[in-house]
Amino acid sequence: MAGAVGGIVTALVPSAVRVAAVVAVVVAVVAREASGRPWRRLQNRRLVPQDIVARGQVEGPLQFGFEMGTGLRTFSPSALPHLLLFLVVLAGGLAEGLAAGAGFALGRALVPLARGAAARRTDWDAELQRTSAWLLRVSALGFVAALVASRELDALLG
Amino acid sequence: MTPVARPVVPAVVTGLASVALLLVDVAPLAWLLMGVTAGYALSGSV
Repeated sequence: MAGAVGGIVTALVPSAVRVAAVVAVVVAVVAREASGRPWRRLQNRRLVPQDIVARGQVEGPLQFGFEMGTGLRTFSPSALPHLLLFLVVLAGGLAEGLAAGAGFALGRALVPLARGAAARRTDWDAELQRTSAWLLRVSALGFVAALVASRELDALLG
Repeated sequence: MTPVARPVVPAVVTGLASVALLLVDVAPLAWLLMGVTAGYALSGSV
């Protein structure tokens, strides 16, 4: 949906305005992420109730995964998903939105896969707690590299 | 914990893949990697 909205925004908002907004927001968000202290996020600060899982073998886990996976009900430690959505709307289109959405789903799926691959999950959780600031920094830098690689900034700057 | 099993490893691998993409022109893959990075950055979400 963001990709479709992005196509409309791209057509309506002048390029100079989009460039200024994209550069300002990317610098502000990435700088804070790289510092290990992200901005306050627009988020729904609620946990997914455990009783949802008990609503059946398929329906319960599906609803739990949907709500937590999409961030509808969760505590978000990073503003990168918000930045991604912002970029899809302001600099992307339908294809970019679909690619970003598929990547986001893959990234979310990587979390339980990586945790499951650890010999002891409690160790993985403890390590994540210890290194979460570094994970944010590495993610922010990787995000910027991917943004530059998308050539979207080149296109915006004309 | 073995170094390869550390939580930061997928983020590093994704970051390196993004850097490698700077050398080629595959824009949709870059958007995919932006998504992967943003999704994995939520590792600590509860």
